[in-house]
Amino acid sequence: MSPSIQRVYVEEAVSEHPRALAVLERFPKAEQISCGRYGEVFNRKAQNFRLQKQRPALILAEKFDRLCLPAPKGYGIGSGRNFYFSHMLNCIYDCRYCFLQGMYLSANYVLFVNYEDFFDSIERTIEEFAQEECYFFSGYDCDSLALDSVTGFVEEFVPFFFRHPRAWLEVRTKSTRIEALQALEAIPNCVVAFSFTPAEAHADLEAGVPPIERRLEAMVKLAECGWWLGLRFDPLLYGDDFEKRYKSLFETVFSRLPVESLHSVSYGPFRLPRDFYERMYRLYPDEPLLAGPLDTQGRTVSYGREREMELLEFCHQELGRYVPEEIFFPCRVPE
Amino acid sequence: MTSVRARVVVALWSEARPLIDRFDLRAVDSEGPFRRFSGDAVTLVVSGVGRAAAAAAAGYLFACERRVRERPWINVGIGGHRSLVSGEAILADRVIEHGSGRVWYPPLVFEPPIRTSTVCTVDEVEREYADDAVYEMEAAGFYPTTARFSTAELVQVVKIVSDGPKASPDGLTAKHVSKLMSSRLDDIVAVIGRTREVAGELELTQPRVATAPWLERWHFTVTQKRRLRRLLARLRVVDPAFRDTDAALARAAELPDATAVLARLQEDLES
Ligand code: SF4
Repeated sequence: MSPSIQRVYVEEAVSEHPRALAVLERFPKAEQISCGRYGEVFNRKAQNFRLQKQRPALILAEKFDRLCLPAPKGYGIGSGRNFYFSHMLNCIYDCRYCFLQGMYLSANYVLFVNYEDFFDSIERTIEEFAQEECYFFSGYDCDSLALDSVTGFVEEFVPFFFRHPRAWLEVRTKSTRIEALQALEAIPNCVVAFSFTPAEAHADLEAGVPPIERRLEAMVKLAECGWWLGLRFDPLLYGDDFEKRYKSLFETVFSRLPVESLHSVSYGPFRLPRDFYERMYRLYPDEPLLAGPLDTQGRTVSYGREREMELLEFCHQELGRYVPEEIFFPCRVPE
Repeated sequence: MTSVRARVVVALWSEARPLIDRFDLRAVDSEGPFRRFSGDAVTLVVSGVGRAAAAAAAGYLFACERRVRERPWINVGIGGHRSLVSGEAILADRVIEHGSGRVWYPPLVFEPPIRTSTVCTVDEVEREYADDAVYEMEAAGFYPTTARFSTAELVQVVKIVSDGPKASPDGLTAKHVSKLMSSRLDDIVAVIGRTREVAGELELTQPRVATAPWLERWHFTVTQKRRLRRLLARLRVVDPAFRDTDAALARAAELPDATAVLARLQEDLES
């Protein structure tokens, strides 16, 4: 799925940046609007994420600071240090549980074109923690691959990490746009991690996301090319028949995937910061997932401890039938 | 077709005239500080010239419309451009306040029926037309004011090019302005129509909850009323039985007070 972009805002500072020019070339018919800082468009109050999702614009911008940050607690796939960086904000898909809807006021896509500054920042982080293994997550504020044909993310970041073998890159996605990965030699310190929810949730809650089977096909192809794979069952979604749904999902997934290509399997229950939840509920009051029974404890909205434990225990046990425990990483969200 | 009415702000009577005819608007409240007109699809206010007047008229219209939020707001008027031909219609993709340098970017969630352009608001009639923008005198007053009343996707600015380096603004007569407006009325109507549709979509997403029968039966404090509304809205989504107010009320009939009602509804939601 390639998005049709009809409007591109270009920060004056990047109007001559080669990456910005290359992106603009891809959308010759799009209306171009020059802007000062991307926040003037993206962070303005009184915008409606739901309405903008109908026709998101692209914003080409430069990121000045906070290029590489420590990952939130509980977010990790190893014993090392965890960091994340966001070359892009927002996503072409429209998952109803996605926290980006609660985090951002605008559904426009922001692409930070100054990749070189991300590289510098990541390099500094690697040097700072020279004695430790560092993991860098790229798909925190976006889907890492969905817009790869436009962003050229893989082509730029994978070779960079190849030059830094002590650091791991996680490319998190629900996309099947794997062409750029297929075109490269697989590197030993990159995990291409695909997220899944059961088929029913995919149908109800993941607008635009490729079907499970197509994602599995993409994973098999990547495994054949030698890439490490990750599985992310995140968020785990509760429902009366969640056992049946997850059992079926795991059966489907593990009947297709070569387990020896799996680097890690992580899973975490559906949880949201309270203010994100409130914003999402205001946008989608007609969505059963958000209108249904949820528990607010402090600043977190979740299914509540009992249901979370049910979900986690069940999934842990079921996953144990297919993969060794050493590669399990339950996402422990702090209370 | 949505029943949500658009609120239109124009500076001049000659700009208003064709819209009044097209939308079959009737004058209302002749005593007010601004001339105001109303019909089924549109309410319109004539602000007079300038940023401050446009902002004040928009505020006045908002107050007259019982401060109902999330309604379409459209500023329509004439302006000058250095190269566009007279009679060209544009939709603003950027509004610049020339004096202060402040800029706004009206988001657009529909396919624009006309070309888009920067609109630059000046305090004196423009004669230089230095930049590739439509120069006019109201948008930078209208936009930030109305963006407080509605989500930005519902606030749009449409301008009809009336003057430029080869056609001085001094020669513009009221008749000529009305004629220009009339010539692009279909485009203006199209923008108003699309913005109304977007507002209609937004309205449809909002839960319609009938709390009145509940409030008649039990006494709820202000906080409890808010909670009642929210619980009923959520229950309607997850339990079809709650879409029938009478049936929902009957289930709570024996409960002694609002606290017990809210507790029962919470239980229903969690069950
Ligand atoms: S794919 Fe991920 S980032 Fe994109 S909408 Fe879904 S949850 Fe959000």
